[in-house]
Amino acid sequence: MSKSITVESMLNKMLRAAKASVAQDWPKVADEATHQLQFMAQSIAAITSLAANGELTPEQARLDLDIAKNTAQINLITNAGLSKLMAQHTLDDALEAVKDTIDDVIGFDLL
Amino acid sequence: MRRQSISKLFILSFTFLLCACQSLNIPQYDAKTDQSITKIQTQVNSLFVSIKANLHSEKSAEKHYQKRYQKILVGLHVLLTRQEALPHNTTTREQVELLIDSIEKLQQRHKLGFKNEKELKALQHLINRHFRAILTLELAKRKD
Repeated sequence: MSKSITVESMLNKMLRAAKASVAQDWPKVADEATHQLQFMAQSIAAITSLAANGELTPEQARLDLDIAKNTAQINLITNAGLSKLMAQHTLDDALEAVKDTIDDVIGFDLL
Repeated sequence: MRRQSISKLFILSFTFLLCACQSLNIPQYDAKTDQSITKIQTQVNSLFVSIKANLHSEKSAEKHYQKRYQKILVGLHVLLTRQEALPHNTTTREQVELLIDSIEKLQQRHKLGFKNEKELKALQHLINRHFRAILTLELAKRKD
């Protein structure tokens, strides 16, 4: 497959976006947010790979991603003390930063 | 006279202490939440075990599991109502809301079908992480 994306490159983009989203609270949430964004980057890579091999339909892939996102969100509110809304906002901003690249690799709108 | 003053002082101090504790907004451990979430976690894991056992047969179709999903979601909505009624409990309420959303999405995902055990294992792991987060917070309240 010519088009591909690494967990590391995704994570760097997602971290930059999340940091801007959380702004001055970043030092307080940095460890947990990094941990959860790493988890999201790994989940996206796994889902992208399965979908690219035809093992997941676009609908299945989107639902798997939604459940992974809820997992990251519940951990952000539990361990980093963010509100549900703030955790959602942070994750949305992080995913937006990699949306075009992922959708291009996977061939449909995943994010 | 001196005894009356001491009593008044004691009552005042106690009232002040009570108000101070309430204004700290500390969520309290709730044994019912602890028990309910453990019970629902067992129901969800039993659902996964059953789907895995029937994976390559027609018996694994979502239509055969609708009553189980319904029971799990009813239990979660009852739990959510309890969280809304408990004071200073926003985080647990939000956790339960997310778990409900994930179980609803799991059911939608089930309707689309599961191909192999690996898919199920990954989803089971994700859902269990929701339960772990809720239990971790509830048990931390007991320590406080």
